[in-house]
Amino acid sequence: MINRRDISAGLFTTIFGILVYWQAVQLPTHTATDNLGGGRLPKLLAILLIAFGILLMITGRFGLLQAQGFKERMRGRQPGQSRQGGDASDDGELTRVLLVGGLMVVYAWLIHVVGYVVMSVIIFSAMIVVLGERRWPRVAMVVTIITASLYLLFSLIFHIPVPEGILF
Amino acid sequence: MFDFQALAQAVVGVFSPMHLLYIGAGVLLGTLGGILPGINAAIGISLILPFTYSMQPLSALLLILGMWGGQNYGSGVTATLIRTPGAPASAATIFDGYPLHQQGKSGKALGIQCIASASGWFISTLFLIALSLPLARVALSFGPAEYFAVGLFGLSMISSMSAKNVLKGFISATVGLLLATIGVDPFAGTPRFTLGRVELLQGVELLVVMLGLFALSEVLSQSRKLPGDEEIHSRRQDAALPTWQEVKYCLPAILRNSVLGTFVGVAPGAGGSIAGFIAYDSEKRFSKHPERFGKGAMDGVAAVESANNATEGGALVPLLTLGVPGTPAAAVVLAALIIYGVRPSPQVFSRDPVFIYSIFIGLMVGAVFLLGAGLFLTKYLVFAIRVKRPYLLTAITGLVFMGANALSNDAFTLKLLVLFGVIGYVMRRFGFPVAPLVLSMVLGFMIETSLRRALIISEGSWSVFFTRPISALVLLLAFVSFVYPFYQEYRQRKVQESGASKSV
Repeated sequence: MINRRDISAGLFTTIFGILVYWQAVQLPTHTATDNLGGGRLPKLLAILLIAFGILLMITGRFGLLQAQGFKERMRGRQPGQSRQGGDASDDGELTRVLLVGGLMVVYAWLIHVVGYVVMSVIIFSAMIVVLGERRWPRVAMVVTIITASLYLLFSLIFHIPVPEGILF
Repeated sequence: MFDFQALAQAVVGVFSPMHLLYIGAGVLLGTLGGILPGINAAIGISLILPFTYSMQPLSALLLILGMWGGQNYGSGVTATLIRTPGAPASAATIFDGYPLHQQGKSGKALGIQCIASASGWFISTLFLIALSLPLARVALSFGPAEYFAVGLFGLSMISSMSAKNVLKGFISATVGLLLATIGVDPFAGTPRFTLGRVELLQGVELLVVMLGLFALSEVLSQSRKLPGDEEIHSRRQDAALPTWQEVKYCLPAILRNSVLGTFVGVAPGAGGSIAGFIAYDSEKRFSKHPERFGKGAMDGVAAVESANNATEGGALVPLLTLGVPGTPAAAVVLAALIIYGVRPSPQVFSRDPVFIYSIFIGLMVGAVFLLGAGLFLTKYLVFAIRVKRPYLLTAITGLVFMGANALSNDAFTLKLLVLFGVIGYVMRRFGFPVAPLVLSMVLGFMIETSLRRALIISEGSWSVFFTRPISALVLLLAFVSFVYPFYQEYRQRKVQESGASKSV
């Protein structure tokens, strides 16, 4: 059975390996004392990536290496589902992941510009709403608790700086 | 064998009120983390790391090790109460823990879990002492060739055991090794893969990678679930603890599986989940009443919990003596040690015995603390099961961002964090395990420097790896662990084909 996911993962790995090799070529391969130099190992790793990527495409194409490994076989026997790997499916799941990921990107890019408190209130509120909580008083209460607790923990108790921007 | 003066100093140090407080706080936080959905030991320890930067290395390590032990126990609590393990290590606890809860014996189930967890932890610490001291003496003779071989063996084992498709495990490990090469070349002093960014000259921060791959990708994964499909706390908890007779009945299972768990923990790649399942299977065979298994056998619960907690002591054997972590949690502990300026090696045993003995004593104290806290405080911590997912995920996101920001307080670190979060999520979706990537990144420095040092010493001759007996043996083992999954696949195919032809 063709495994398209493995074929695309293998293709991506191969392309990534080629890019790494192209970058590694510019590194020195040996010095006066060091036979390997800084470039030989990255080159070797890039070749390994290309080889593994091609192998993954081949095994994906012919449906090989689909047997469960030891850990997988063991896990497959558990009656309940680990809460780490639960797999729900609904139409909005990808949208939710993209929205949460997007919020993380905005948070990372703007927190040092705008400041911890304002950005946290905005991003945390949006995230809780995206994840399904629509009762606004609760959203406001939880966001206040999380933002204040983190500030208290990091800034006041452990004296670890929090990002300061134009609005704090 | 023992430096008794150092031992006395270690006892005095660990029993100081501050250190006892750290151990206790670690156990409680770990138990709470284990109960919280999605927080496994690696994530829990990664989240607490930023708060430990200003602490003394020993204090921070005692907190972290306490957390690790508490986490192993906490994840079993939810396996029993809501049929959902907090972490894979307690997956096998469900078999008998949940039936006990259904029979209204949740107090007994949690009680025996706690006793088994604490015993497994304590006994594995005794084995850690017994194994690591002689191993450290042997490892003193290790040269770069042996360290390279041991590092490669660790990676090979972890990669081959962690993924359904072994190739994905190896790809993950290779990417980790590549990430470890980012920054200034330790030998030539020239930058590698820094893309012209000054921030990358020191390499990619391990904590950022771990927070992104473990924690942030978990947040993204859990975002996929339908809103409001949290587990329901189906039945009220019963408070009656196990009787002495019941504990006595479970003691042989606890002792047997504590030893088993320790040795499973020593092997790189085999963590608590494997130990738990092996323990459950073997205990069922040993038991006088195998028919009770799956219907609420207390010795079944005891076997799994003692084994998965014992993996902590086992995993610390290669970690402390060789600096080789065998599980994601051990990799985070090693990363923490490196951040505190302590790189585990056999030399540390002779150079700083007080530090090593303090770890041993701290682990034993942690086990005793878990026994007390687990028996009497768990009922107050299970409220965490009811925390709604949107709130929990948001709080974890905030904690992860602030934790990463604590490293350098700049936007670049946070951007890198999100990048690794997304990479981790995509890896999970495509079936790539993240653990080999993190472990190889942690081991990358040791593997590369050992390889290059060995070649410098041998004047470029690769035979150095095959003419030294330990190095040759370990490399052979690494090769076997590399090819074995392919052989296994071939054998399974043959069996399937012959089965299919017979049925025709």
